[in-house]
Amino acid sequence: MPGLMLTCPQCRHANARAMKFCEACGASLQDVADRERHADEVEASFLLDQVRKARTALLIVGAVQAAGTLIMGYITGFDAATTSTMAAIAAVFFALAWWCRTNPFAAAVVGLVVFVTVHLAEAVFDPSSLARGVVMKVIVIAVLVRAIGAGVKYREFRRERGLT
Amino acid sequence: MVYRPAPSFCGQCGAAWPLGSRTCGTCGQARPASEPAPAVEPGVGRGLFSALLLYFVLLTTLLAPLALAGHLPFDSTEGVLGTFDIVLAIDAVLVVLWSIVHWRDIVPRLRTVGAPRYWVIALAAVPLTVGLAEANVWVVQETIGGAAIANEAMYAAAGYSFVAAMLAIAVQPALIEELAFRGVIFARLQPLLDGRTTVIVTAVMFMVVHLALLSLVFLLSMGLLLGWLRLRSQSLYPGMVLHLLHNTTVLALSWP
Repeated sequence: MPGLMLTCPQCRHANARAMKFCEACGASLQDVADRERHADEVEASFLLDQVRKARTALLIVGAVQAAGTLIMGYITGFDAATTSTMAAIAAVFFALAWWCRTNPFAAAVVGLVVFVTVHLAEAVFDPSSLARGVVMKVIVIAVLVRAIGAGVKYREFRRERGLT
Repeated sequence: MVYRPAPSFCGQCGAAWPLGSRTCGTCGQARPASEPAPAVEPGVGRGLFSALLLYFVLLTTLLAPLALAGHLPFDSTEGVLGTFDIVLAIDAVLVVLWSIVHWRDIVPRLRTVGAPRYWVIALAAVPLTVGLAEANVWVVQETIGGAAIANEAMYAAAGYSFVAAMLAIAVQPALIEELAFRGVIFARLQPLLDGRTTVIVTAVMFMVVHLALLSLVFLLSMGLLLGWLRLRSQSLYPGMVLHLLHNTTVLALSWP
């Protein structure tokens, strides 16, 4: 398994990750270990960047919801129940986008759960709403699912390489 | 076991390895028998999928009767509550199924009783959670003005006995919701998140699945408290007792 072994720079012997010296020739493995660790950090940061993409999706949902609140409010004359519900959903997504900066994985999981629940519940009371903005809904769900998948990989990778 | 040839030099200090020895003669380090096992338990991703699937399946069982309202006897209170009883039974079966599949997560939590201080906290919290629930609904009605749906009074009007209403409103949720949210979902999320974040995520799921816009603030607080009890006590029982007593008290207060 590449990346899980340290190749001795002197004799090419494959040493276990925990070793500081080559078991075959006694050469120091310090430089190889540093390089491998750096490569792992870079790979982990790529995965983390994929998780952070959830933030864009959450921000867009919040912005669309906020715009919807204003438009619906203008049409209905700012009916208290509708406006407060829609504004609360917008606030939840802005809050999730903010949380995404420190904990993107958890924010993506919560974002997916809230987003799907809100739209399924809306569809039950108004079936025509399901088709409204369906492309955006599918994209948002896809981005969040990919972010969650990358989050799982990121955690598995860090534990496998002992980066915790 | 991975085959590894006998070392010529110690991997920890670089000194020549004594022939036939199990430990290094210079630094005394024992040689690992094989590759250290990866610290990650396999299948955390699949476990997360299972937890999210349980959430969405439960959500579907709650939404399906509303979507099919035209085909169901929703013109009478008895019809609505009868349908809801069937949903509760289906949810109970589903959650038990999930618990059996993830029995390794559930059984240790059912064999732990929890430290007495969490039982004290659970019992002491009942008046607070009941007060918060009532205050939450009151504030929302005063500010936004939503129609109050007195679930509890509906059961009395439909001719349910107090015990039958308690089964539907207090016993089933206390057992099944706790088993689902603080049992299966909590245990599946915990390897991926830290304890505090797991409490927050399960609390939000618990809040959203209730589909009760008027009680969101209360439901989130209740979810956080129940999750905290589960995290600290390592047991499902204090949360189940708090949930049972809370729901029973709310039912008793509004029972005519």
